[in-house]
Amino acid sequence: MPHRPTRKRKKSEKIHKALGRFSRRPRAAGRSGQWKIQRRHIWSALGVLTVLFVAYVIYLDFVVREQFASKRWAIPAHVYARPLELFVGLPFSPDRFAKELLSLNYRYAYPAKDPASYQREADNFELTTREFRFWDAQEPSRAIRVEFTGGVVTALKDRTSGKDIDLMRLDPAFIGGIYPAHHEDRILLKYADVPLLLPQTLIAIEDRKFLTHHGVDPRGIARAVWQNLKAGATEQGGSTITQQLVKNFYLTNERSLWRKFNEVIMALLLEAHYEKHEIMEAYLNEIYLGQDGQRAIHGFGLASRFYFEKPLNELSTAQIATMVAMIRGPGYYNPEKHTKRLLLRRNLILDTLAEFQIISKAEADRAKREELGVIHERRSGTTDYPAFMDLVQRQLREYYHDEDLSSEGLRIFTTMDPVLQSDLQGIVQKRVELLDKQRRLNGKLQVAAVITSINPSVEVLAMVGDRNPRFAGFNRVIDAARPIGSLMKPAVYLTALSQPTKYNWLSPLDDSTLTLKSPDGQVWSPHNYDNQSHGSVAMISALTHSYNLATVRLGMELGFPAILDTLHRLGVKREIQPYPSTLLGSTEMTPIEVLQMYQNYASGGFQSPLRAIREVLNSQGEPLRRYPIEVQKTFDPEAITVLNTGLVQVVENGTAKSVRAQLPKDLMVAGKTGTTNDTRDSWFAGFSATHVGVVWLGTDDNQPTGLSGSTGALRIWGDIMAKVPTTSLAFESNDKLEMHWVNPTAKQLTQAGCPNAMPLGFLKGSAPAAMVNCEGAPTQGNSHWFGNLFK
Amino acid sequence: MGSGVMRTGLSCLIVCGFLGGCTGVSTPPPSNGVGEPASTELPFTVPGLPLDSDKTKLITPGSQTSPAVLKLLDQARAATLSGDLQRAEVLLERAIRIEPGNPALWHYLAKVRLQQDRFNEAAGLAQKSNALSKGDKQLQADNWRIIAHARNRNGDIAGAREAQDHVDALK
Repeated sequence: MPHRPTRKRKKSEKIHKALGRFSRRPRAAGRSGQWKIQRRHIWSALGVLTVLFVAYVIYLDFVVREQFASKRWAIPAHVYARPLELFVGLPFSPDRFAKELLSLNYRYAYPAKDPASYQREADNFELTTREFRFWDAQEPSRAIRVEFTGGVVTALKDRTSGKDIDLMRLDPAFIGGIYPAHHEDRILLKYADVPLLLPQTLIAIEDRKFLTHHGVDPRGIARAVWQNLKAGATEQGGSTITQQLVKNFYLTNERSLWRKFNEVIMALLLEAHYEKHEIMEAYLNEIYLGQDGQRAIHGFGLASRFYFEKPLNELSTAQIATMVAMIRGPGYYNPEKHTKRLLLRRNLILDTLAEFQIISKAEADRAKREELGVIHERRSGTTDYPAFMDLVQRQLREYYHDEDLSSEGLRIFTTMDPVLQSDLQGIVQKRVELLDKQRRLNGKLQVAAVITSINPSVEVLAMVGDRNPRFAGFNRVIDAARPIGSLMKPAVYLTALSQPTKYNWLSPLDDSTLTLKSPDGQVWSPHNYDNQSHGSVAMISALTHSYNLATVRLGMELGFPAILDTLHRLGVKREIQPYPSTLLGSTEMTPIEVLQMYQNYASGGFQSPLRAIREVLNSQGEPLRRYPIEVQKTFDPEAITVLNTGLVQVVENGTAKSVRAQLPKDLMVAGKTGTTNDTRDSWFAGFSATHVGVVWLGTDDNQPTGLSGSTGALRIWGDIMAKVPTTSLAFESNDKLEMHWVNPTAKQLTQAGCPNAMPLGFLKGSAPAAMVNCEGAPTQGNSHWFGNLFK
Repeated sequence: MGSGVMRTGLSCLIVCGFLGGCTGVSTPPPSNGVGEPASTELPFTVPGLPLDSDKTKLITPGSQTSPAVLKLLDQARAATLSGDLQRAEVLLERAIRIEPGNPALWHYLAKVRLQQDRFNEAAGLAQKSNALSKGDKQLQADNWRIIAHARNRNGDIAGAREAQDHVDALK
């Protein structure tokens, strides 16, 4: 009887074939014992393989469940500017208001009925605001009318009810994010909040069997293979939505059988463990939909904001179809570069939706007539304000780890004024380029500029740390420590003025040549900027003209302990050497340190922590941390007022008087110029009643620039102060302070209205009794300040 | 005097003081539930504290105060009544940003901080209020009381005495 192979043997042969060379070895007659051994080995190997396979599947199952269940997308911190508070009486020009709306990406529309739309007629605006969740309350979307007269809000009405609004806030401008290393950004969606049309469209286009398959759709794969074979290229992907999610969620983009194997197993496991709506929600949040510089746009929540500046539930049918069209290749269907291609695919999708009766034919036709509607000049999520964002991150790091900042979806509310920041950037670029060209510095002139509010606390409104404000490199506002030159002088004069029995603005100072010898024999001979000595001068003249010789003599007379005490109280934390050159600003400070020193003057003897952040909220909008208003008294307010009346004269009659031409006539400001040896550093620090600004110009390699404080930094300071809606300084006599007109040449009080008279403050009882008339002859009369004559 | 009574007095003054609309201690606001040692444990008791509304004239926000700020004060008052001092603080800060030169607003915020046991901050705000007060002796006296109390609670007895001297001088 011929030997007939049994079924079992056939199966074994197949396995042998599959196992390769070893198993293909022909059976040797008479060697049945050996075969038995081999068969045992094969079964053992198969057993091991099965165990390995099962173990691997268990591992994958663990990975799938562990990561999916605990998957918390790394949600970057989103950073916002300060919100604009609107109320009748707010000093704000209509042009500035229009810029504010642009910074918020409000669209010009007639009528302005949709959220984030506005229209303008002359100085009046009608707008519909966006709703926004603040720390303390929800600000609803409102249709409002705002009227401006003479740079002030004069009417604020609710267009729906017709009633006056006492107070409301606009939503704050988004100014950037703090991203994880992979730069993924997203806004998380909940399935329940997603318009139904989106999952319907996704299923119709990407995975028609989504609701019935178990993660993999063999027919879909077969159909895709057939279509691709017919087309001779990869036109259709057979991956289900679950597979696509697995690929994005757990795997790489590598094209290999091993990756595909994992994808299939994991898709089956995912479907076994989770509901369809959970998988769809994850897909909606995970899918990659575009690129914004380094930032990767993930999920429909962010894509909707990114491409259309709208929340998802405000998108039209055509816009939803556009986003679904981009899934296949956000680069290939880039709305800016490949508009026509994207339009064609969008329309194809709209036809498919009509074919599946998800929308009517009429709606599809109407939607096909719509333009893409993608906002082309959208605000980038990668920040335009690197210097400010740098400060924000440094302040956040006092309380948060980098990882939390880039993954926990924190919402950071900052102090930045987006319009002022934009103004400052424009001014800096223009001025620095011009000055660089004028002084032939070959592009080496650098800049640091910062402006803060001072009331109620010191909040950074705008800052620029490089001549290219968008360059995220060395932040000179925070990190460039340079000699501050004459910016030191007010501290010396404050020390003197705090001793009213000894000093006042008319005290004579000796400005003759001076040579000092240190204990080790070194000789130091300071000189004035004009290389002249001026003999005996009034203290006010020494300040306004920034005389070095008189200041050094005064400082030596006061003594270093007193000067160092003043600097310490002004908040200077650096170690200051008790050298005479310190009195002329050989001490190095960063612009932000200078600002912290000058805030004491600007806020009338009070000091606050310098803030770039007001509040931090978690991703659910719950408060995590506030940065409250804090003030500490550092000096007698009257002594500071006396100093400030002198610093006003620096601007009115001294080294900074050129800035008057840049400023509104009725704006009284105070400040001090600073120039270091050979014009290596050009500084100006100054303030109004509500703002302080510090500007530095120089080169990174410390070369002379030919720019003094008044020909360089002051120009930029003047430009920006002319733009800020700010408040003029004003001084009044009180029970501790007297205001008098003085003649600085005669070092005497004088009468109001004399040509060389200037108004100055004196602590009660410290003013000289004698006075002169306008010609300088002794007289009796009244030098008192009546009201606000100076204004 | 028990600390609960002290808190009650402070709360009432804040509540009444915002709008000057009530007199006397008729409706004690709810306690914020924070435990506090009895004042007998304090090293020094400042005369005139707690700030009791039947001993001191109410501080009003001033006739020039804008409707925007009055609205915020109204909300802050409601927040204080419900014991939500953090919300009151936020609302008062918004008010101060709108009218930084209004000394009454700084005074109210100083009181909230005092209630929150943030003594240094309370004293700083009260001093700022004084710097803006332009001869309003009642406001200055109340601010000095806050400063005295804050210093006292911080263990700065000499500083508290000095502040109390200011209160006495303003009587």
